[in-house]
Amino acid sequence: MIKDIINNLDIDFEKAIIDNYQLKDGLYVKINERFEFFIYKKPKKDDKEKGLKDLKGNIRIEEYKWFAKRDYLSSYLNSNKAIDPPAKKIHSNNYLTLFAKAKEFNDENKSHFISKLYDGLKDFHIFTKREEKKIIESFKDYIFSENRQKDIENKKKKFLEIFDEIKEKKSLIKDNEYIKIFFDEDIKKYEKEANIYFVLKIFNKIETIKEIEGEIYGLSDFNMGLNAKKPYLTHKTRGFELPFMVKKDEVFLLKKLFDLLKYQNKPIDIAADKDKNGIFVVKHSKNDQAEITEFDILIKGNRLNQSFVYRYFLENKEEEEIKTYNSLFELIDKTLYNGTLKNNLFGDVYNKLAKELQNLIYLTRDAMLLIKKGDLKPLFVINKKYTDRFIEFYLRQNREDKAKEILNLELSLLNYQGDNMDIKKSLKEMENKIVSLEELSEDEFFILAGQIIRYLLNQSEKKDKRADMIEPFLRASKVKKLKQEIETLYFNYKHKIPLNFQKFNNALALVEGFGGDKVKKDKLLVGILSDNIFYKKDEK
Amino acid sequence: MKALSFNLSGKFAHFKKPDVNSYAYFTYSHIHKIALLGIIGAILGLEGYKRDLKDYPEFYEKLKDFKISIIPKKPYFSKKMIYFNNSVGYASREEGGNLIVREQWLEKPQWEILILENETEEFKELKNRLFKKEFAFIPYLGKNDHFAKIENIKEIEFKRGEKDLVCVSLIPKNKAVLKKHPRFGEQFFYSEFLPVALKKKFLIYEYEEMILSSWIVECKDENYFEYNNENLYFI
Repeated sequence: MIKDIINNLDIDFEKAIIDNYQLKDGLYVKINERFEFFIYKKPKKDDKEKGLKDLKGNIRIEEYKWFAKRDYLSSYLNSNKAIDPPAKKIHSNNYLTLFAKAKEFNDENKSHFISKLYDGLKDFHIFTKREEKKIIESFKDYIFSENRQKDIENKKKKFLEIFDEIKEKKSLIKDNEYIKIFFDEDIKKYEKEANIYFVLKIFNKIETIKEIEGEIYGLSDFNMGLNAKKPYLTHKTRGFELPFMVKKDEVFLLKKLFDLLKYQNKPIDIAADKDKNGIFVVKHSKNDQAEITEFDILIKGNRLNQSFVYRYFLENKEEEEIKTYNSLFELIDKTLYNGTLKNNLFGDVYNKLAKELQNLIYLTRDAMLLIKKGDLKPLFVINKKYTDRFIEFYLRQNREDKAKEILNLELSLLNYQGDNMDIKKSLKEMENKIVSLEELSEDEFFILAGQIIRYLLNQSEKKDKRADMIEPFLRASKVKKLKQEIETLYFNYKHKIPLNFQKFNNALALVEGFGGDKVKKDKLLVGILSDNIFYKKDEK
Repeated sequence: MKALSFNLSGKFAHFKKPDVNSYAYFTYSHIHKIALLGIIGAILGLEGYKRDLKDYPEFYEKLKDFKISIIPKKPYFSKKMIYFNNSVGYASREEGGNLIVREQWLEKPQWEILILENETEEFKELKNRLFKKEFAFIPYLGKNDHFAKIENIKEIEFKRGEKDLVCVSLIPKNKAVLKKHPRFGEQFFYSEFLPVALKKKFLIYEYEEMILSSWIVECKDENYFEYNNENLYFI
């Protein structure tokens, strides 16, 4: 999977990481001949670069990249991989930087910083495992070179000079924000120093390094853990228990991928091309690291095989043509979910939404996700099974416009599958039958019942017509009950209906005379929402 | 040329990708050669992975030279994340002893599997057992939660590929030269790094990028075969 993602992201990883790099809030110190102090606070709205200010309050956008590049290289991999265990106070990985929480900058810790950071990294004597010693041995020419040794002593001296000043400035930030000290050195030097740390620490555990067929492999450390309390994380039955070994020269690519994912806010959604597959990746953050929660390979392009036509069955409006899976998804999100689906595709649905809508999202979102992956079959199933519930939901909220939109969508989807329904024509036919008092088909009965309900409800003179007036009709599941409800409604409003309104009287008679069992709710809703025939003047 | 052919399907399948384990276990989109050899091993009653590490497990040792072709009945099987608890007690030593497992499953996968005829005892035995439907162990699709359905067992005959045709089986990417698109039909392109071999002693997967597409593919080596006017590739 990891390889599939890397292969599909055709970008310069390093550049993308630095471009998106987010500094943490805190005090930043740049040391060359002088000491420069900056305070970073992540802005709420603006670009992240604008959060970097010097002590006078001037915005220093131009320094952001300088810090970002060095910060990225110098941060430790995670707290279990700090260079000063078990204290874990130093969060940087080389002697050119010192990252620590502000509260740690006190006199007691001064010697800790000196001994672990400067003295410890001078000869790397703090790394004592056999495998670690082997690696350090391979770097020994660099580590013990005179230049480097002298440089460390110099940096140590400078650090001691500035320590008290930094301690004073601590009050400018909160206790658990960072103080980060950087020596002004070339990025190449940073790379060299950080590299030793990464080689030592990049695998899950250094003891897992194995030579397999002449190549060095180690247990991956990215989205991979072997928590001793969860024995099944190892491959118990295979004999060789470590799940996933990475080659030494590939593991850095993995690190870059997960660093890139960390600053990725939206899911990665790359549609397939003619001769290339696409990918779909969703991640969340856990312990400040990216964790992949959803992955799939997309095999179809974004273009629909046959365009989808969104028809306005209920109004006289120009139809819309939709050509891509993504815009179909967006149309459905907008129509059915009021635009809330996008952000609720995974995990817990936002709990401030109406209960019924939350339920509907849980029930239908998997099928909707598949639209993005080029599979429409589940959508058709959902359309038949659940869209009426959406319509009822919006009717209860007194949002008839929305309910109409959904009915349009439902019928358009049925139409897309080849199931045609011409509302205007069937209304016309029904009208003729009413005039001649012919027997109605089952579908027509429910449409007509819907029309009568709508007409009667409109007779109400209440200023603000409430959604619960329609409730009994949405609840009726048996024809008998439905007819009773219509009767009650009729008796409420019959004083408003003209005595010789023949069309209505006929219609009511037809409905009363119908014998059936179960209510076809979809047709009833069509009747409620479509143009009302009782308002139309008879054509002569 | 002759081959054994059968339909392999199931309600669900899960072919675990070993590369991440922290949030969920993901699945390959299609069955891969090693899982398939495992199924054949189960039919034959060969030994699988064991806790004491040998060079290779018996099934792999004996079957790794089998030439097989995997023909998906659909290019894409939908995947779904499944959550469940493993509460046997020894699954988690954390308080409560409950292990939450998230697994991505394939829904209703279905493949046609071809196994090229060879001279080995194992092949004869396999043919025998398939036709008699006498399997030593119950075959499953990646996990024993997902029983495999094996049906439509037959012996088929076909010839070596000569023409450039659509390749309906999985094929290594570096073996496929895409020529052009057929004029009709839906376009798709699937590719994924799938396990194709095991490393000796360590038994970790070796990968190769496999593809499945609607393209007409150039028929260029002896692993191509023509069957029902389509090309197949044996891996």
